[in-house]
Amino acid sequence: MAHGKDLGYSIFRIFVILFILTAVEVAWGMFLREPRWLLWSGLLVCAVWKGLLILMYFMHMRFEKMIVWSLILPTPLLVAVVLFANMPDTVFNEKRDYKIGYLIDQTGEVVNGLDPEHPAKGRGKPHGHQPEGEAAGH
Amino acid sequence: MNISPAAIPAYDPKVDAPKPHHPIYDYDSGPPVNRGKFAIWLFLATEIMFFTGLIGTYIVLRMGAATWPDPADRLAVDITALNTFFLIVSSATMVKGVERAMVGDNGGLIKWLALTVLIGSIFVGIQAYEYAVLIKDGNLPNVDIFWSTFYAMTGFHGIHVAVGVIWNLCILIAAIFRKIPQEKYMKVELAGLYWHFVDLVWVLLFTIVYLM
Repeated sequence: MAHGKDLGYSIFRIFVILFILTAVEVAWGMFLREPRWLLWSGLLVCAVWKGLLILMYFMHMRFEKMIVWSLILPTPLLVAVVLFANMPDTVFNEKRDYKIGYLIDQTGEVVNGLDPEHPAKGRGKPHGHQPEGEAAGH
Repeated sequence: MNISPAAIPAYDPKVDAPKPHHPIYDYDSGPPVNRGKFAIWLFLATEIMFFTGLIGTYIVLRMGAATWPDPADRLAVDITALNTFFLIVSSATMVKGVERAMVGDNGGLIKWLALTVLIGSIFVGIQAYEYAVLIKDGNLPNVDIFWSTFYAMTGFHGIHVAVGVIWNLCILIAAIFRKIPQEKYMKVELAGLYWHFVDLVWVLLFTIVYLM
């Protein structure tokens, strides 16, 4: 089986692209926190791009026969099934209130959670939607 | 009805010899690809579903939470970005190792594989250090859902990296003491496929857990 430079692709070139994408991704993630849709879409594009480069070149799927592809092709479908099966618990669930706090006491109540006035050791700044009239994390 | 023993014909190997259970072909009836490669890809397909389960759980919990901490406030993104860089470098060195094995260059294989093992070990070491600091600060997996999902996803991935390091180390030892001939390069390639898969998973996990 041909591989690497035998196939006309440069390992170094792929590596450099991966490096640049990682640098862009980290900068994007650290300095462009808002708006969230822009942050997430940019990060996803970088991650998927990097994943495809690794899959197609380093794992040389680009040069594999259909028999190998047939082992992998069903998995995106199964992944989609898993994600869609979970949708009722996420998108369509109007009673979303899983407790995310810093400490949970013995009764199961969240204490010293994501209250911005009492962040535990300076950690746990809240962001995103908070229910009205309800302290974050409580 | 009684049958006389004389009526039963004697054993004739041409007629009575047991037939083979499977038909014998004059061609290879297996998949048209190396069987090791077929098996490793089948295994990797199950691994994809394993990590999908973990990431799917994370998405459910995160989307179902009224609030979610900003990962940048809780995690050391800078040092983990460096770790990501290390893993990508190790993938490149692994490709070089496989390439050397394919042309029968045992010395080159040893050099690149040793580098891969070293960098993979650095990745595991940095992750262990990150865990130690987090745990020292009291951020245990049972503190809240953020930490539970964080440790579950990165922990399982870390175990996979450690297994990959051990696998590569075994091949490195074999290359040093017995030499891996050109026709046996597939041993290296299979380990490489697993290693690249671990790298690929980390690329996604780093984005989802640390940056989003």
